[in-house]
Amino acid sequence: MGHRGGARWFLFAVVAGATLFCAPSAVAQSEPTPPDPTTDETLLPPAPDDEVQIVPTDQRPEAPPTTETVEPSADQAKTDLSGPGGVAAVVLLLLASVVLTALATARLVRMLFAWRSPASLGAAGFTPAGPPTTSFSLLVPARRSDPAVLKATLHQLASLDHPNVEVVAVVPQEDAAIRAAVLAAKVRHPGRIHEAVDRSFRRARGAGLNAALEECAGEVVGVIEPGDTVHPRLLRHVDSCFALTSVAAVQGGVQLVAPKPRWFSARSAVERYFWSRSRLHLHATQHFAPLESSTVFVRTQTLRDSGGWDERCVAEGCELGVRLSVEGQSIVVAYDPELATQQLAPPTTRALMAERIRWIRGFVQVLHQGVWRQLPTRSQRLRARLVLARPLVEAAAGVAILAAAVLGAAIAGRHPGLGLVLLLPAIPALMTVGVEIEALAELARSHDRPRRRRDQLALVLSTLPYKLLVATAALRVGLGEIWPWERLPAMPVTAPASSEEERLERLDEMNEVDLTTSEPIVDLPVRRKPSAPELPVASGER
Amino acid sequence: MNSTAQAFTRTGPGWRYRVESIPVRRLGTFTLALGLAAAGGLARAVNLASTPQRMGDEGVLLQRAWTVDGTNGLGRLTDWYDHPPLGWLVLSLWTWATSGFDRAWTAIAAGRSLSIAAYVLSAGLLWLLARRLGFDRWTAAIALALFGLSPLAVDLNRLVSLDNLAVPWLVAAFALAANPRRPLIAFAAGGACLAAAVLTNEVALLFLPLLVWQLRRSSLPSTRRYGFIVGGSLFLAVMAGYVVDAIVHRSLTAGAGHAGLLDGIRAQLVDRPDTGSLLDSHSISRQAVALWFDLDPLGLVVLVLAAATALVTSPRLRPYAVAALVPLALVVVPGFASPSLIVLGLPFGALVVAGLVQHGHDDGWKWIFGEVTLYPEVLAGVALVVVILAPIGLWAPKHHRLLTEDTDAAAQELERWVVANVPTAQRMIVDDALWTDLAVDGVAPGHMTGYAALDLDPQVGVAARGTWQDYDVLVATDSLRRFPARYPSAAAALEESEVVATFGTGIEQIELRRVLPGDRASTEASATAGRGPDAVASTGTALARNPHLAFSSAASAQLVAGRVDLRLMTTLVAVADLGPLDIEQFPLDPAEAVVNPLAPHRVAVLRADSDEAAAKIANLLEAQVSPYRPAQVELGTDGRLTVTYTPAALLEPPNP
Repeated sequence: MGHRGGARWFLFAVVAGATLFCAPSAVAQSEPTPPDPTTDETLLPPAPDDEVQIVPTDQRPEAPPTTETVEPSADQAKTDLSGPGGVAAVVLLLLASVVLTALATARLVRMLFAWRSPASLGAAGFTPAGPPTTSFSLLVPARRSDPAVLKATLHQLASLDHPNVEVVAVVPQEDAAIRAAVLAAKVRHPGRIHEAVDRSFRRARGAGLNAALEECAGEVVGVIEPGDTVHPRLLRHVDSCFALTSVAAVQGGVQLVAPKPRWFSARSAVERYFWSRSRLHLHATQHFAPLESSTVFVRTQTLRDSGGWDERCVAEGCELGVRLSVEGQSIVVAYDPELATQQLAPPTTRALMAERIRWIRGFVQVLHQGVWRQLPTRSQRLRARLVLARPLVEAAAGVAILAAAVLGAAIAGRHPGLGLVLLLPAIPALMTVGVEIEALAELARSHDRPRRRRDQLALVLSTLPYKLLVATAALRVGLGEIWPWERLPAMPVTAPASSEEERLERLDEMNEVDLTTSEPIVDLPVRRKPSAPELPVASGER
Repeated sequence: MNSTAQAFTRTGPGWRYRVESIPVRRLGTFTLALGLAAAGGLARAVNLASTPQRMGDEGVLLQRAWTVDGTNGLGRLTDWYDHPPLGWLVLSLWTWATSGFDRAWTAIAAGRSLSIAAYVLSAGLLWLLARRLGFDRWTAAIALALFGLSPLAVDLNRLVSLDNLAVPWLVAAFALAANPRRPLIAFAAGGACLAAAVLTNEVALLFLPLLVWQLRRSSLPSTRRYGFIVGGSLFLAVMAGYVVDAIVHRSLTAGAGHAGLLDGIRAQLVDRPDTGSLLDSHSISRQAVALWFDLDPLGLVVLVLAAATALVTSPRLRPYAVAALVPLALVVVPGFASPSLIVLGLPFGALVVAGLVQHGHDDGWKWIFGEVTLYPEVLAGVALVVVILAPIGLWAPKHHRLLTEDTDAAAQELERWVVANVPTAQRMIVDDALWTDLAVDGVAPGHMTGYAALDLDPQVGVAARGTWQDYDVLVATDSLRRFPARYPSAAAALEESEVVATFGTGIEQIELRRVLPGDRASTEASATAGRGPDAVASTGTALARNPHLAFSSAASAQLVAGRVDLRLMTTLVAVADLGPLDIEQFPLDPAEAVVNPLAPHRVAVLRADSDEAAAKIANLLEAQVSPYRPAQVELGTDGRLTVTYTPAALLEPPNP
């Protein structure tokens, strides 16, 4: 039960925050304008004109009237905030503003972590390429991919500059088109491309990857998504990272590219850039690295020892990273603009929403799963909790900052102090936009593309709708957590299987569920259909 | 390398290791820097309230700091949005935290103590900056010594001025920008510090290009853009906060009860007061330069030469050479000249001089002496003479004056006199430098105005204080007597007023004057109205024979001569009923005596039978109404009490 409390708490925080912002603004609207306290009253006293004489002690005259005009203080004018309810609202608003400012500033600091000094920026790159020392098995989870794209990816991977590479396409048993594409690639690169058949009928990619893991011959397993463009020399650099025997996993950089730009393309590219370029490095130095789902490399033996991928988690990379971190394995995060893998951006707003939901939900799942609780120190556990809850918190904070700024601007005329404090979180938020513009320019430079005004404009203008979209995604994840009958199916997440038997057992159990519930194989959210046993949809969603 | 997450073991170092790893050398450095900063601080702190003479601008700042309190928010300006507010906000924080206004012997001393603190802070930051620019310890020490001990710096750093309060922010911005590790936070903090400097004194905006220059020099292309975005946006955010604050308080433009920011900015940029040209010996700019040369001619010449040399020879020092010259150059820009402005450049000037010494040392003085063989003994001798003896010879007299001269006695005397003698209902035009002290002493702030405020109010559309004719008393200091043109209203009051009391001499002289505009009748003798000197003398003679009162012979003589104030005599008659009373003397107020040796004696030193009887008399006296109510009744020992009446000239005027 304790696991579930977290998400509920966040949802309540979001709802409470929203109410908090709406209530006082309604109060502020209904408040009458206080009368102008300044009058033309002069400061000069009337000249005393009475005849004066000696008076006995008991007839003490009245004290002379004070001639200073005492202007009503600003507090008295704020009648609507003087009651206990008003005071509580003010205190809560101030508190919320401080918290939001701290959140926005912390986010900016995380985004800029890689650039904190030139030395640290240099240190975030790959080690220079050396002679090959290890062998790679590159897994390509092909389920639901476009066969043409898959073929191109396999071809590209087979031509990478490394002598000991095998490319393992993880194909769903039932999809003939994909299997045909793999077969074509196999013919073109005989011996270098293999096929691992995924018989699990599972939506989560972990199952297929686990199936392929058993057949991997390389010392290092890498995961590349279909459609990704990998730099030809990347493996040479990854190889030299693994030269250090203590290194268990290497996460390379990923960039989003959009062949057909959409309104959100610039923004999601920038978000991904900061994640890959900077934030992941911060997590790595904090010894808690949620890995990505592509361009991640792990020692085969380490991976097998720790039980492979989690077959129920929608963000299997994140889960794996957390598990390896908990085990104390050393994870290297490296980014080089040239070597970054280019991944296709979500093509539609719908796909973006699905991707955001999967991202947030994956983190929430890992948070619930609770492997991070095995971390040795209290501060590490706290940090893990914060890292895993962050997608949810950031989504809520993005909207809350906006609401605070709007409310602050609305009431600043009547309550200047409160209004100014509410505008405070907007400062780091605006600074973040400035930094994002520069990141976009840097991305363009790294691809030798001209910096386009249109992209910058799109980046700035998409801030608000994008934040709303992410907040919606977070809300849907939150609702799915609280009310499992909501559109998202409940996905019981447990710790990874401790033994092979247990794993197979769970797998069977899960397969059964999948077949009976007949969910179409798509990204979240999933809509139930009343039809009987499913035959998975072939390709086309992406 | 790359960001690596590695399992780490938690074993802390033992105590022995900790003790051994105390950085003794760094502690020594720290002590040296602290010692030099403390020496400069001491040179400023001793006698700080008495020299240099208090100035009106100091008073204005203190006045604003004093006005900042809970009800007033940030001290919304009602008269004049001339400078950004951070300076007096910090000042008010300081006086609140130190209880300065209550504890220090004058408000000026309370305010100047913050300037000393600002100096110590600047000195520490200057050391950091010098070390970060690659100076050796000894050259950094030269910079600190020059900055700390030049009489020019010592004198001007004592003042309560926005320039002094902006210096630590400025030096901090540059010290942060020169961080050798070039972190992003240096940009952010540098930008924020410069914003604080600008919000303290708008002239600091001139240093923005220099800070950008330094940041450009000290950054690398890989992080530079992010740095400028972060630092620049933080700078803009802080500056925008000031404007937004004005907007939400609806004081962007002037209105009822408040001044307008836009008017202030326009006045700053367009309508600056004429400070004259250097060729005019009476202009402010000429006087500023004259003051600087009087305080430290050597330092000034060395500063200019060093800055010029550094501009040509040293790229590292170039931004600082410009920083040292900018405030100097401002003296020729009409409207900007101010004696105190130079302090913005002094730390950088000291830095540049020390930096040239460092350069000379680094390349073996080749750029001066070429390939000539140098004998260390000769060099050391020359250095001893030039570096040590010359400044001491020139600086010692100035320091002696700064450490001993008292130019504030008259002002303090005046404060005591006002509290004892001026009725609380009287409205006063005072020098701004005296305003806060009087307010602290209990004079109602609504009853006082500074010279400049009288003229500024109509300009900003605020008519709260009335014209000079509505005031009763004018406290005229040297600045009003010497520059009447700057304060037209106060000067008009000066014209149509007569001296009541005088304190001090020369330029320290302060006159307390009765304002008598043409339509108001002279009230010189309101207490003796309708009665001539003879009547006073006969009243005195009659009183001297009163059997209930025992007069000393001197007192008796003064009564008979008609020199005692009529109100005092009337009171004595009333008091005689309460029991036997000795009248010891009728002293003449010295400040009044200077003006008019024949002024009526309005102070009496009485002696009753017992303390109880004295208290009874005091009660009776304080129950009276004007004009018979004494300004002050002081109870002494042995039944003594001193009764002081308001000077007749300061009595409430009869209703016109």
